[in-house]
Amino acid sequence: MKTYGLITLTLALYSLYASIFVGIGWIPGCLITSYLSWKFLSAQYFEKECSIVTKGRVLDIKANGTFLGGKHQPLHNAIIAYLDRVKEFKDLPPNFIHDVSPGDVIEIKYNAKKPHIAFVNFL
Amino acid sequence: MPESIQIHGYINYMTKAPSAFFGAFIGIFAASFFAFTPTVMKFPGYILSLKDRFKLSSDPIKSTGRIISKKVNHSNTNLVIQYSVHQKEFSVDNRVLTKPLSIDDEVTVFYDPNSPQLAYIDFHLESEELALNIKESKTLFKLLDITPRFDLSPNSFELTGELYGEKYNKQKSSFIHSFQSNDIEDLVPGKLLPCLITKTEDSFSIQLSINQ
Repeated sequence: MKTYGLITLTLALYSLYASIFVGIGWIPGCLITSYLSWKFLSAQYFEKECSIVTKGRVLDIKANGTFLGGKHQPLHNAIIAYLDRVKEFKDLPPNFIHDVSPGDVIEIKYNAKKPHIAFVNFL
Repeated sequence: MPESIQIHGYINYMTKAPSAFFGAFIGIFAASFFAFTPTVMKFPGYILSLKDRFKLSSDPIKSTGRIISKKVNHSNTNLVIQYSVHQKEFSVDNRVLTKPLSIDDEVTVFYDPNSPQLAYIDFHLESEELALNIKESKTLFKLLDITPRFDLSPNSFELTGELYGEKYNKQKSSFIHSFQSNDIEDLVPGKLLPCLITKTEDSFSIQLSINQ
C-alpha cells in the first residue's frame, strides 16, 4: 500500500504542477491521484499515532466485496465495540475471519488524544 | 454540425420521443444507485459519527468514575458519571456494555486535563482488569453439576459446585447464569474455575472466568 501511495502521491504532485503550468485539463488527474494517495497513505499515517492498546469486542464480521489477490481472499469489515463506542473497521485481511469470530475480545490500538482513530491490532 | 444545432436536435428528439427520454432517465437513475448512492448514503452516518469525534489537547488523565444516574433506552444508555471533581453525561451504545451497570458502579474514565468535559470511558479495560483479578484469585469453584433452566430464560443454566481456597472449604454454592452454546462445551463436572467472591450483608456474589 505504501508503494502505491508514494506512486500516486508523485503523480498527484506532478499533476498539480502540470495543472498550473501546462493546462487546466490536468485538474481531474490531480484530484483523482490526490484522492488515491490519501486513501493509500492516510491509514498508515494515522496508525503511527495509535500507541495505546485496549480491548474490543467483535460484534459482527462481513465480507465487504473486495478481494486481495483473488476471489478466495475476501477482505472483511468488522463492527467492534471498544472504549465507549462502536466502530466499523474496514478492509481487514482475509485471515481475520478464520482467527476471529463475533463475541471474541481482541486488541485495539487507538490514539489517546483522538479516541475515534483506532486500528485492529491484528497480524 | 454546429454544437447549437446538435443540442437543439437532441432536445427536439427528446420532446418527440418521450419514451426514449424516460428510458434514458431510468437508466441514469439506475446507474446512479451503483455510482453515487453508496457514497451519498454514507453522509448521514458520517455526520452522526462527528458527535463522537473530539481531540484532547494533551495526554489524558486516567481516573475512576462513579455512575450517578442511569437511563436506558432502546439503543443507548445515558450515564451521568462523576470523575475527579467533574461530572458528564455519556450516551453509550448498549452493544458496548459488557455487563449491566448500576448506580455507584465504578468505570475507568480518561479526560483532558485542560478541558475535563472532553472525556471517554474504557469499559473493556475494567473487564480486562476484572478478568485478570479472577485469573489470579486463589479461590476456586469446583463444578459438580450443570443443569439447563430453560424454564427461566433461553440459555439459562444452573451451576452447582463447591468453593475452595482462602476461607472456603467445600462450601456448597449454586447460581443461575446465561451461557452461549460454545461456552457450555467447556463446562464439564469436575472442572476447577478461579473465581472472585464479593460478600455483602445478606448475600454474596461470585464472578468466575470460564474461558481460561
